[in-house]
Amino acid sequence: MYLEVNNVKKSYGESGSYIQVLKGITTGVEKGQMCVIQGTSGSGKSTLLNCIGGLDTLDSGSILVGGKEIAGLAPKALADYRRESLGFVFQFYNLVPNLTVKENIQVCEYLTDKPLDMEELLEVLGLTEQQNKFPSQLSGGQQQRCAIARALIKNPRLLLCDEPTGALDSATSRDILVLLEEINEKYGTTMLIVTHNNSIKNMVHKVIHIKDGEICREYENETRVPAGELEDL
Amino acid sequence: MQKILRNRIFRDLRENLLRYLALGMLVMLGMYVVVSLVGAADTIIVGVDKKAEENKLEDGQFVVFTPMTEEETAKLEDTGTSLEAMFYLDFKKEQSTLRVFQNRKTINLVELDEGRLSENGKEIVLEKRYCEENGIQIGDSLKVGGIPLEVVGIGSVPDYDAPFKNLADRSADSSQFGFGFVTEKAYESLKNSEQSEKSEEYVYSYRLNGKLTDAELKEEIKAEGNNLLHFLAAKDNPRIKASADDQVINKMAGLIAGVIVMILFTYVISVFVIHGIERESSVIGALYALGVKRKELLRHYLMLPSVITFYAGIIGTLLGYSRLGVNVQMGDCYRYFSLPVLKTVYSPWLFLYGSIMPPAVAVIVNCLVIGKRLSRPALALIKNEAKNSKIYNIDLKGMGFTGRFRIRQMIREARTGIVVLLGMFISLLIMMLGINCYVLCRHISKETRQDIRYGYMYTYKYPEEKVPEGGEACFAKTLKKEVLGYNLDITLLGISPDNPYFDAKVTKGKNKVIISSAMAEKYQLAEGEKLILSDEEEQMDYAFTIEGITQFSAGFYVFMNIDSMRELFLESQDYYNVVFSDRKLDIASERLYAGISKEEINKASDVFTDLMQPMIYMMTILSALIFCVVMYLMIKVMIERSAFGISLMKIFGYHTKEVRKLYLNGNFYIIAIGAAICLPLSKKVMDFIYPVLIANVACGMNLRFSRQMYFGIYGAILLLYFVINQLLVKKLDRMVPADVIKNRE
Repeated sequence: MYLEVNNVKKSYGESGSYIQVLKGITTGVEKGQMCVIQGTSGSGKSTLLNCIGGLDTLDSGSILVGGKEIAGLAPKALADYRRESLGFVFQFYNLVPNLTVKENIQVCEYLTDKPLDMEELLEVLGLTEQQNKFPSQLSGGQQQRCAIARALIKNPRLLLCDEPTGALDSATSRDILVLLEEINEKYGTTMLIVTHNNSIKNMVHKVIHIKDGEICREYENETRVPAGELEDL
Repeated sequence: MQKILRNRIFRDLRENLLRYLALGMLVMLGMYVVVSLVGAADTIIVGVDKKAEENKLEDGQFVVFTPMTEEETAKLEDTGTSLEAMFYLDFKKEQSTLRVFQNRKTINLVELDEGRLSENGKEIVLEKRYCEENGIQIGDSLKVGGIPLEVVGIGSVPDYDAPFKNLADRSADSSQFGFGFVTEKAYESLKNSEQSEKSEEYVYSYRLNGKLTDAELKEEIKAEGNNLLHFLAAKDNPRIKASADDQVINKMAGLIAGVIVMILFTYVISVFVIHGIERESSVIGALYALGVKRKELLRHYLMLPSVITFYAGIIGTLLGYSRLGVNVQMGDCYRYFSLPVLKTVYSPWLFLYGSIMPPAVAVIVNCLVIGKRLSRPALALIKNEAKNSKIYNIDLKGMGFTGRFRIRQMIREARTGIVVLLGMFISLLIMMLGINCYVLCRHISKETRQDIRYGYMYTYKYPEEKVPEGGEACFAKTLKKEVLGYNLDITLLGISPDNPYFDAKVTKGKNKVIISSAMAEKYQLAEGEKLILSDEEEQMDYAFTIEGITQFSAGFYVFMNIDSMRELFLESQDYYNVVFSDRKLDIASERLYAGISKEEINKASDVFTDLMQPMIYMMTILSALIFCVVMYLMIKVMIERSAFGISLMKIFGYHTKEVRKLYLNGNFYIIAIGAAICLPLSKKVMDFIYPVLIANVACGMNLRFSRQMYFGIYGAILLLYFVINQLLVKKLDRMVPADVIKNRE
């Protein structure tokens, strides 16, 4: 198991405003798998993703990534972990506004000794023509491609995507998902995708349903549908 | 990565060129003022010392009743001391007095700016300031004591750095007084012309050559007989190195002002950077999530402030050292003191100060301010969570919506508001420095005219038995009192109770005195206090009780009953040495040390006003510039930060006028209340600092100015605010809500 999550608990607030968001989550993802975490708003799916990404701390439990415990790591060690192992894709892209597409990607290229080939990545993501444009000159889909490229350039072993299609229309969402699928196949990147979109579960290897901070259903998807054929996105 | 991020620095610079240019210009201006001020001070302090050494500046001088015999001179020289007679004669030249010396041989040598020393009986070398003021050039001819002399050289001497006619003078006025050097033969001819204003003065300058101390030499002279009239060590001579003393405070003030101005500017820059960080909060969070470290981002955000301040500092430093800097600053000094041409002194530490201090302050201030912001967790940054400060939860239930909104807006913008107030305070402080200079000069000039009721003042060397008709006899003695490290001359003046020239109502008593208002202001003295004055020559201290303060701003005077004073100093019952009169008296010149008219005193009191005018203008312009730039930039930031809220309000249907009321009018209260506090506060602070800055200047300290002046400055601040506000509100009107909302998404 590349990613192992054991009895993870997480809560926010005190006394009156206390809320337990994760109530003992235990799950895992194999290396090279694409996994979807599904759930309604407030179910705890993003919190789980943030905990795995080292952006949020746990109350208890453990998270092992590639055999390495990340719960309880110091901020510097967490930064190193993210630098070496992780790629992040956000719903609202979070690109640096006054850097071009290529420069936005280069920001992360410099974080690793062995980056992927920039030209090839631009080509794969269909950004070659847009590489010298600024984020404000791109469509939402193109911006998300750029954000994915930025996350991938480091060749991370684990790619965490928080609602990657949440801000996109149906056609563009499909493009992005096709892209993620291609990347998974081409680079063998393990992917964890948080989404409330019900169709995306059909393209991945594993599906985890969370409800009220607990896993209510978890299964391996035996009948994967290629992303290009997904409906109701 | 820094290389890539650097691209965005250039773009940020291009997008906000005007803003950074304005800031860079101010840092540059700040460094220019500091470097030129301190560079000029260094040049004068070091240069005057160097020239004093080269031109064999005396260690001191003494005046005798009759010239010393050769035997007496030899005896003194046997102690290892070098002596040279510096006898002189004063001649009236139209409105001015020209003092003539013989060419100097071993002490206080003439440093020529141009020409050569006089070589025959028809030539003279003149002091440079006198030539400048009276339009005299080499080759000109002038009649002195009826003898025509050709000007063959123009220069200066180290013992007349401040060209005071009399040692007790408060200011130098080279249009009225100058001096020259002629050959021995020409000097004899002038002496024989008998046209000098008063008798020849027998002054000797000495150099101790490390053999004796001043006190030991004085004892040696006294041992020669009862001939010594006055003994003055160089350190107590107000003419010597006065220019350098004047610069020491300039230097300190310049350096401190530089740091304060830099902190203000870097704080302004840090507000921009914080604004940028808040705007890019989610991007920064995303970069953290991708593994970028805080150190790397901190370095990135520090880059622009450091680079701007570094280059602005370097340019400011170079400008400061250019002809437009040090030379301009030294101009004031050259226009007052009699200085040789000094070579600019380039201090490595000042270069470092000008080039390293601005980025260093920028890095420190920004590290403190930005570092904290960047330390927030990645998730908080991505979500752009507002910091939940207690002050945001302030209970405003009792207030109406508009009031509540405005207060919340002010709290939200507290940081920018504080910067505006800090900028206002610092610029007002600089303005107060200029205004204090102005009001002090004005008061001196005005009050001197009002307070001097006599027409002439004659100081005797040998008083006549009978007081000249029409004259009011007084007894004057010069004592010393220390203030802020400077030992200044105080005139103890014995007057009769019914004298017509002074209001002081002196009563009998050897310890009862009334002091002049100038002295009370300078020494912070009040009625009933004890006053101790020192007679350094006799090594005696005298203690008096201040019975009252009388309005008299033309010098540091301590008035006492003349009979009591005669008793105190063991003089005869009819002794006097000063005579005041309302008309010119016919007194033999050889009996006098000096005779001065009211007109001459009035003119001298105007010297400071003329001298300080350029500095007053510079300070006022600089302060207005700082204030405008800081206020413009900060209010602009406030509007930019509120752009999203303002757009929302517009979408909800609020009119521009209402939006202004909610978002901008609160600033007016900040400015109005801030100015009402900063104005008297800055005046108070500057009144506290100012006496230290002019500690060596022997004048009163009346720094009061009228209420109208306060209201005028207050009105000017509000006016500036309205102009700037108007400019920025136009920007608000042009704001298209849809664009702002779109950009936000």
